[in-house]
Amino acid sequence: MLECGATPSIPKGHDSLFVTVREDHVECEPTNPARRCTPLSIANHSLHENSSPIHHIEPGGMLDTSDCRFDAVSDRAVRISGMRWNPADRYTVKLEGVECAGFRAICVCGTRDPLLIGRLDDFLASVRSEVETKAAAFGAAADSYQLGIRVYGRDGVMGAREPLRGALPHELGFVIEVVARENQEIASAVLGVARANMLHTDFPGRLCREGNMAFPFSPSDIEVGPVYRFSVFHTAELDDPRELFPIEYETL
Amino acid sequence: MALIRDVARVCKSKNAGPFELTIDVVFDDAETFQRVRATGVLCPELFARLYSVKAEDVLFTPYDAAFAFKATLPRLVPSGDFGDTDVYGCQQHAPLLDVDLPI
Repeated sequence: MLECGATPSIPKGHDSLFVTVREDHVECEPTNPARRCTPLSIANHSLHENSSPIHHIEPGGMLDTSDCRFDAVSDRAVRISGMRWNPADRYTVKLEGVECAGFRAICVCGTRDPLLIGRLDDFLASVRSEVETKAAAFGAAADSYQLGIRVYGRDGVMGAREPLRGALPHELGFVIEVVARENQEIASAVLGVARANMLHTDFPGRLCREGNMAFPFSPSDIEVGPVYRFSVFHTAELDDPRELFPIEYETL
Repeated sequence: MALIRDVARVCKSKNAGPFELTIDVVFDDAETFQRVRATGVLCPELFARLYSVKAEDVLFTPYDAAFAFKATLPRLVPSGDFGDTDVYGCQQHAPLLDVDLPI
């Protein structure tokens, strides 16, 4: 909880929380007199970024807060008691790590053309096909990069989980994205092809023959650099809890 | 009848680690919480339907102390991986807002 500072207080803020840890309970009080902790504001925080509000897996065991009591000590301080600690058979430490997944380039653009918006899926399929052919022609095989076309105004936020389908907005925003495995140069080159084809690919009924997309910036393409993905999310069983965290003392 | 957007005090989503999304619906007081609980509408099957996952992949916990219901389910794509739309997972709550609670 301390990691989040004053977040478990109201009004929620970005300064500090003062926590006193005693043998059988913990007391929380915000340092800023403008804030206060209430039993509910503290209880709510156990929901934050945990898969369970009652079972918290920590190195060496599991903290069970299912029978926790949250009592107001004053109008701004709360006492938490009733936590149970269930020691694990082995002491464990969580390992998280990433690997470089490639290099990214992006471009932001939008359309206000109802004829294009009305046949967007076909249009994007044409663009993808053009990009594949043209990128292959300069040596970027289809399996050496990933092309993403994010459609804001349709499902840019929820992707495949977006429940509202078939709405026809008056404008759509796009983030065109290329991640190339090998280097930035390929990502930027393929993105250039994708951007040009979003702008100029023809479609049936097209009236906007000078260009399909409005670009807010020139130059329009942005090199984002290396991209990382989670590749290590493991639990290490340790014989000695300290073995991964060596401390060296020096006398100066 | 009441929509979650009209009766809940909090309806939010967030990452729980890089591979899971956790969604919380919090009510004002114990009485509202218990009335909502009694309807049985908030359950693993609801989240399974709204988020296209299997009900057995939803960890669903009513949490009396906070007048809250929590559901944790797999993300579509690991946080920050290619194709992820919401690196922190904090805008995945909207499908719940219009769930009708017969209270």
